[in-house]
Amino acid sequence: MQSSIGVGFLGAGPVTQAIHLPTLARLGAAFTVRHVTDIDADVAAAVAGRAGAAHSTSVEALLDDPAVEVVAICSPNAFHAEQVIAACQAGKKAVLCEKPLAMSAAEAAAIAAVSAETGVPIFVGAMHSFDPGWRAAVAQWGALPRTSHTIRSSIVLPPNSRFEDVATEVLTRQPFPAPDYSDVAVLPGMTHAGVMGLAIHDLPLIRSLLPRYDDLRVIDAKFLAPFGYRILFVAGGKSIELHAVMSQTWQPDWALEVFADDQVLNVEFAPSYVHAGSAVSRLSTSESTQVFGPAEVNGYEVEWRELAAVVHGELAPPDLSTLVDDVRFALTLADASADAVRSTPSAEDAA
Amino acid sequence: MSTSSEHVRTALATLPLSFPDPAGIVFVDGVPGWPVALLHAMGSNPAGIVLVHPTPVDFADPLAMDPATIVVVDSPWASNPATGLAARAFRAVATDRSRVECRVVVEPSCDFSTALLDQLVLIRAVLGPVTKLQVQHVSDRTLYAEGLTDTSVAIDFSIVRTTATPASAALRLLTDDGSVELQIPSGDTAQPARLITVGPDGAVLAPTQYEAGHRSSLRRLRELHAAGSADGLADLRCLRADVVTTTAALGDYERSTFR
Ligand SMILES: NC(=O)c1ccc[n+]([C@@H]2O[C@H](COP(=O)([O-])OP(=O)(O)OC[C@H]3O[C@@H](n4cnc5c(N)ncnc54)[C@H](O)[C@@H]3O)[C@@H](O)[C@H]2O)c1
Repeated sequence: MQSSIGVGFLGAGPVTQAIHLPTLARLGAAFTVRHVTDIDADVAAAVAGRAGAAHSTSVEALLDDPAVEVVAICSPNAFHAEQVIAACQAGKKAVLCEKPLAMSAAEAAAIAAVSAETGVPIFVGAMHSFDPGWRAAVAQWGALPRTSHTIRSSIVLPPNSRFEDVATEVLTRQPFPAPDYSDVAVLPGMTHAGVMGLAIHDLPLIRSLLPRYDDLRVIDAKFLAPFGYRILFVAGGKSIELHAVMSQTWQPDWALEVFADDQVLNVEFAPSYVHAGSAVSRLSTSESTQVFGPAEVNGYEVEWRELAAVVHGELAPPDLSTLVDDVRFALTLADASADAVRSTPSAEDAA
Repeated sequence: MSTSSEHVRTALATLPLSFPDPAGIVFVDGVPGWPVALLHAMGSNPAGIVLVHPTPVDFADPLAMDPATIVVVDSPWASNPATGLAARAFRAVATDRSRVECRVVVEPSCDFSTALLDQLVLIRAVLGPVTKLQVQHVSDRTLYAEGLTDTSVAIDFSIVRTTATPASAALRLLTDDGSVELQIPSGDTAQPARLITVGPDGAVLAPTQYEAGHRSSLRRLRELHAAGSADGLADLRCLRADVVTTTAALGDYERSTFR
């Protein structure tokens, strides 16, 4: 039997509690949670207590802990890059970084450099890329990356807490500060956050359909209240629409659609947090529709299983240049969308 | 394959009591040049005229004709019998802060100007006339546009060409705590539209109506006739406004990209 892999968590918020601990519990002996770090000592202690792990409030304490073989980075986005780099430099066996991998091109470049130097495998917790329902469609989609001409991502979500609360019993939550809409930087900032926080789940999938994105041009971008966006852009000769709204609805609706002249792919994802199995993909031609999924296994499970296989030397690590390119693509789009929102006259200005 | 115009003709056979004399109904196919054919038809004093799936060409003369002549415009999405219920559902929740997505999938042979006009006719039926329209992007296969109705509801239009799925239209309005969504399958069969309203208590699928849009257009013609409509050209006047809006927006876009 293979030995259980020791995991350390940097950041023990709702994602660690509702997503990763239940996933690792399902994977049984493959992983053991050894150490939990959070800047909030009470959260670190309580979450560590659930898993019978050590706890601390410093990154160094976790990285110095020899029981920690794999580091899962679940802190706020701003800390991801520096913590990925530190974990690689500490010589850990692998790093799983929650999305997004980085928040600037410079951070992405620094990660690429340290990974090349240390050879530590890096995973990004973009669970849709690992989703069996998505992957099954990819395996069958034939020429779709070449022939597709139009892509649409639409995400309608209830508040996260509704899903976190059925995925676990969450200890504490960071309050969501009420935005000051009189500040002109707020809407561009929230649009940027929407791309880097929400659209980011599907941007690697979209990028896998684009021959290039150095020609990316945002046609229109809008922030949608209370939180969301609608962004139209072209890249690699394709027309792309990103749409998202988080509201008080109870009904989630998370879809990715890809159109070619003779083929249409429609993927329906379950919301984050809930462990509701895989996506369901429908690949249609004028003659027939093939349906893939739902499978019981979701993307979170696959990302951890593959990480275990990489640690055990059974699988090649993810291609880091792909991951770095994914985050560069996301940043290019987020920056261009924020610029577009910034340069759109507000309703009052226009009046 | 049958044209829409043939489909409407054959739909007459499904209304044998309403139209005991089918010969009295004239069908004008909405291919470019239809205004001339329409004018000609109006001149023969028919019991009613169905203008089938008009392309956006400007016209004036037919509007100067005798308003006692009833002209019904048959449009792929707006003629669906579900639009009546949909209008109630959408208008009940639409405010000047609402955004409605109007998305259609069309055959590759369908030109964008007609597909956009069809969308405007649908929005008029469900929410009200689109008074402002701006085309944002046109490629070989995709068009995006943004509009505003007379009650300031914002509309995000998209048109995508493919053969992989049948033509269809979808309207969606997301509210603070739910949504209203209408999905209309291609108008030539009686496959029903689905109107779903989501609110805090759950989702309600409106009763489905297995009637093709063409038959619904004919019933409307019959009803206008029976009621002795004083203004048989109302449909045409609305169509003209939508044609002008559509062609102006496409013209502006062409000029802006040409520059
Ligand atoms: N894959 C998914 O489905 C998914 C869903 C939501 C969020 N996320 C990502 O997961 C990450 C965590 O999300 P969350 O909602 O739990 O975030 P959060 O901000 O609510 O919680 C993060 C935790 O990290 C702690 N923390 C803050 N600074 C820290 C630091 N420097 N080092 C260590 N811990 C620190 C906080 O005290 C908090 O307990 C984010 O990057 C987010 O983008 C992923």
